[in-house]
Formats: sequence, C-alpha cells, structure tokens
Amino acid sequence: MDAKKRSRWRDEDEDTELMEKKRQEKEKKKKLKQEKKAVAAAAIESKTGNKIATASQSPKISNDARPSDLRDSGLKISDEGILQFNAPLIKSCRSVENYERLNHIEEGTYGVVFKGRDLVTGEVYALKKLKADKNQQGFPITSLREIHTLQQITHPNVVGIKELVVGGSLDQIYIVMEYVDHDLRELMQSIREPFLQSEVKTIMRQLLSATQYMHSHWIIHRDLKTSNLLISSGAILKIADFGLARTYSDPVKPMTPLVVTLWYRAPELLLGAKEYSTEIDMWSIGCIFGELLTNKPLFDGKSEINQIKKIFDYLGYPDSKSWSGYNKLPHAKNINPPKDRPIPASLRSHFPFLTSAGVDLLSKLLQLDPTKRITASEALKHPYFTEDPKPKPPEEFSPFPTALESREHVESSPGAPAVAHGQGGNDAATGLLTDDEDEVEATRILLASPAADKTGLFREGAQGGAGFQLRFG
Amino acid sequence: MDKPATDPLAPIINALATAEQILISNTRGASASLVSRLHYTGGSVAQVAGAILGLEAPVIATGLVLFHRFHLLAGFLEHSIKDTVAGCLFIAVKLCETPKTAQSIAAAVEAACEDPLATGSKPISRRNAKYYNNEKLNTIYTTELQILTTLAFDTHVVVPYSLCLEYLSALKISDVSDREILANRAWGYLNDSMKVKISILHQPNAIAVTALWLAAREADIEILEGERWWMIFDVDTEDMGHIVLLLRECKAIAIGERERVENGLRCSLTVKDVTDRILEEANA
Repeated sequence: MDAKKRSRWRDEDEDTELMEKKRQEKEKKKKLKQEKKAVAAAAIESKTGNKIATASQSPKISNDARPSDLRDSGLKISDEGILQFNAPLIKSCRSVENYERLNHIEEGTYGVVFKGRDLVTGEVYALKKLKADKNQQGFPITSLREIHTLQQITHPNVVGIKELVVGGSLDQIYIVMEYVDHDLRELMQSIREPFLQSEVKTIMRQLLSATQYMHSHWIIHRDLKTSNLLISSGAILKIADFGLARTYSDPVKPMTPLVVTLWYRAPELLLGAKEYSTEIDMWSIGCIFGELLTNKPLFDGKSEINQIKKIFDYLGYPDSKSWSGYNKLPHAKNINPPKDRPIPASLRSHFPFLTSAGVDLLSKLLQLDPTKRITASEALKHPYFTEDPKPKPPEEFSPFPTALESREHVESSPGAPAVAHGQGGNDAATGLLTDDEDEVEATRILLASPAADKTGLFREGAQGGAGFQLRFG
Repeated sequence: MDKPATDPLAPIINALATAEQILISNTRGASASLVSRLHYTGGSVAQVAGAILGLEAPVIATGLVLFHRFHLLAGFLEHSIKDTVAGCLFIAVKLCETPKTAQSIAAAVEAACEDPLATGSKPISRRNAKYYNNEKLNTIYTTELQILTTLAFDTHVVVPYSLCLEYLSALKISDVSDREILANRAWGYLNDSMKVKISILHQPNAIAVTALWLAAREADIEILEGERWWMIFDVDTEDMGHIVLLLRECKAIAIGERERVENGLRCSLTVKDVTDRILEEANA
C-alpha cells in the first residue's frame, strides 16, 4: 500500500531510490558483521570440540547454481555454517511497562481491556489481559488458538496483533492489539438509524473480504457478530475476538456445535451438527447483513429452541428434500413443525427498501442447507456490490459519535457459548476434551433452555441421540 | 499499524537462532558440548514420553522445536529438562489439537525418565495419572507459562515430516519398495534430527531434503542420478552438509550418553544433575 501511495509523487520516487541504495549498503555491512560473528562462533565452538560445518566439509558438489525463490526473498547464509535466514527471530515477551496505561476500556467476561500508549513510538493500542487459570489445564487452548490465528493473519480488515507482553508475575499476560474506536453493535445503537445502502455495502464488502481471507487460510472464526466487528472512525472494519476461531480441514473433522453467539448461530449448529465448515461464518454474515439493514438483530432468540423456531418461522421449515442430510442431524427428529404454521412471508417483504440484488444476496447467505449457502468469494462477486448505489468510500462516511457518547447506549447482548470458550461445563473442566466429546454437555444445555417447554417445537417424549429423554409438561 | 506484510513463505518457515544467540546459549555455565548433550537428552526423553502417550511423531517434534527454542534462550541450570520437556509437550498437544491432560503428560515424562535414552535396560512402569494432584501439577502449569512468555507466544512451528513425504512423492520414484524404504529411513532421520538443535538452525525444507538424501545414500537408491535434485526444494548444498554433520554429532552424543548410563552414571535430567555434570567435567 505504501508503495502505491508514494508513486503518486515523483520526487518521493527518487527519495525511495536513494533510500533503497542506503538500505542495500546497510545490508551489506550487516551481512559482513554477521559473517564475522559466525566466524567467531565457529571458532569458539571448534575450541570446545563442537563440530561445525565448513564449505570443505559439505558434500562434494559445487555450489555455483543457486536456488532462486528463498534466496530472492532475502535469504542470507554465512560461509561458516551458522545460517542467516530470512527467518523470524526467537525472542521473549517484553514487559507491559513499555506501555503507559491510559484508561480502562471494559471488563468483559473474558478479561480486562485497557488503552495503552507505546512509550517509544507514542502509538495507542488496546491491551487485553488474558486470564490464566491454573486449575483449568494451564494456559487456555482457546487463547493459544486466538493468539496463533491472529499472528498468522495480516489483513486490513482483521484486527492486528502487535505483541504479547508480561507484567510482574507470570499470570499477567496482555495481548497488545490495534486500538479501534468502535464496535459495530455499539455504533449501531448510538446512531439509532440504519446505515445507508451505500454504507452497508462498504461494511459488508470489508467483512466478506476479511472472511474470504480467513477461509482461504483454513480458519473459521466461529463467533462473527456485530459486537465482534470493530470499526474505526475512518469507517474501516476490523474483525476481532478470535477466541473461538479454529483451523479446519477438508474433509472436515468433528468439532463442537456449541459455537457462535445464539443470534448468529447457523441452523446446522443449532441442530447439533459436528461436521461443519466455513458455511457457519456465512450464516452469521447473513444475520449481520440483516441487522445492518434494519438496525435490529435478525433472529434474537431467547434459547436454542426459540432460536430455531424463529429461523424456521422466518424462512420456512426444512425437510430432507430442501436440505439433503437434514434428517441425519442429531436434533432434527425432535423438530415438530407446528401444524397451523403460516406460510413464511417472502424475504423481500421484510426488506422493502432493498434492491432485488440485495434480497438475492441475503437469501443466498441465509440458506438453511449449508451446502447451498454462498461462499465469501462468491458473495464478493455478487451484483449487489456493483449496482447503484455503489459502496461509499470509507473516507466519505459522516463522522461517528465518539466512543464515550455511544458507549452509554449499549444494551446487553448475549455472549458466545461459555463451554466453547473454556469457561465452565465439560469442555472447560479439563480444557482439553476434544471438541467432539462434549455432545452430552451440549444436549444438557440445549434442554435446559427456559423456553423449551413452551415452544412445543419438540415432539413430546421424543427420544434424543445421546440417551436422554425429553420430558415436557 | 506498522506490521510487515505476511511472508508468502511463512507457512513453511520457522523462527531460527542467530549466531549470537547460539554463542550466548553456550556460555551459561555449561560448555558448548554439554549444552548439545543436554539438548539431546531432552529430545530423547520427549520422544520416549511421547511414545508412552501415543503421540504422533509430528506432535512430539512440535514440542521439541519449542524445547530447543526455549533452551536457546533459557539455561539448563535454571530450568530442569524434565520440567521443560513436560511443559513443551503440554503446549504441543494443545497446538496440534491432540488433547492430553497435564496429569497424563506429567506421568508419561516421569515414566520416561526411568529410561530416558530408550536403552531398553529397564522396563518402563506406567504411572497412574490420578496420582498427580493440583499441587504437583503446578510445576507443569508454571513451566508452560515460562516457555510461552520466553518465546513471546510465537507458537508457529513447522515440522519437516509432511514436507519430507511430499518431496518424496514429487520425486516420482517408480519402484514401490524403494519408495517405502526411503520413507521409512528418512522418517528415522527426521526423528533423530528433532532430538538435537537442528530445528533451530535450519528450515524444515532443508531438514526434510537431507533426511531423504541420507536415506537414499544409505539404501543405495539413486534419486535422479547426477542431478542436484534438492535445489528444486530450495535447499542449499551447504545447508545439507551442515545438517549431515549435526546428525553425525547427534549419533556420537547418543553413543556417548548411552555409555555413561551403562557405566552406571545418571542421565542429566534435573538442575542438580546438570550441576553435578559440570563439576564432573571440571574435574576430569
């Protein structure tokens, strides 16, 4: 991006050239220095009887032809066998004291977040304190996944991770992340009026672009929702909170269906599917799309069962014809479509101001059958984004209210399932149970839903999969 | 935010030691040769413990890369090998999504320490995992955090196993039994390479290629006769030479350490063992 910006200015181009020359000179000097060091190291090692390779000891094959790719990327090798790759360094965490604590942002379920300023650069970051509970199988696997995922991803629409720092004791660990002013949920509540179509398109495109990137890097987010989408004052969207993210494989391996915050949870997860993939993120994006258009959550269920009911009432009840494999889902046989159910209204009628291309995209995101759901890369090519009104450039968004003003309006929204977050429940008790071992727990929670016996969605006395019996009064 | 663009090669690149780091790691009380031996001892214990736990080679190797990185930065006189091996395996099973409890890992490492070099002299008795209560497990939890913070939570580890098999299939060796021999022997070399510091000095592609080259030489199988085929995989001949040497050194260490144990000396597994070993070397 930098290079593109610079090329607009001719004289800066020349500057770059000059800088490049200087850099090369520096590199040469550095290389020389490193070689000297390597020689010294070799000398020391040979004194202590530790063998080290030299050119003459290598297999007797001449060295003229050079491999290209790695070398071009800046790979350096000293002559003495201690190798200087373009590899990252092995290094330790810095201290949290490198940051000046500014103010407290929030204390969520999963840790404390505060604003901090880098004492050297003056840049402001968000510091999130990690909870390290020694009684739950050490450092939480979910945090390891989150850190690893964030370290692997570099995308303008994914929140950046700078480093991890430590406090005075070992259990004080902070993730240093890019500071972003708003989250989408809080922002939507403070603006009170839905976004313009052109603005929705910009937000959706950024969301889809980041999602496409994640999915192509074998990562499923598993908790996309408006409160996990940060948005800067310059209208740049950043996906955050990778606490539930996981790498997936093809073919898929079983994982826990207890992921994604209820309102954004795909129907296959609600029905207990354990073999699922990137489609669950696409469902969440469909829900977010609907929310952006109306400024109201699309399906605000109060329990798992209530959530399924809301979805099916809205989109129609599936069967094995409309959704192949539906009957094989663990909880599908317990779904009892109400006899006098009204024929669901068309999507169009819910969104009178949306163009037909917009309705088409929404309907493709909200496909009950995950195999029919649109993928992120397909969605990005959807005509909705090229027809008028065109997506509004981020810099043309009208200024957002300041974070403090808007935070006062924030209402509570449900969180992601605690079990998957490694807090309470079976998965957490050991922290290490495989994702596929928590079915019993999932069932227990599903059944404990307060609205269960009122919806009448499940057949009376129906037999469940995991040896439990449903009893409704 | 000032973050470098992701290197397209990142998925196959590991963080490596600098010359300076190697230099420092060899001057923390133990001699360079002893440091190499201690790395080997940890490598061996981890593989024995991993086998007891039924872990696959790449999972154990992931733990071992962390182990070698950790001891590059932290001394053997401050952290006992026994604890850091357990800590590294504990992190590796989480990274590889192959869950094991801290209890079972502590028990396996404890058992592995009875025959750390896998000499087969003593039958290894399995420990009851329930024996490890929270207080005893505190060590493994503390060590885990020490390892993670010492390594700045950089848990990106690439191990050479799948690369090696991919390279083998890319080389299109026609004879099926040759292919099998190469795969088996190369796998063995990879296991050996993971016991010593090779993984913090060389990239996984170079390790994978060298294992194949050694396997072919040993079995007298020609891979693309007269061609420097490893160049296709971006491996420098010089790198291969160094890895071959390090593997030879590994073999020498293995023989030396085994002799020590056979002569009734203790394997150096704890901080006290290492202190005794330094004194022993000083007196010799």
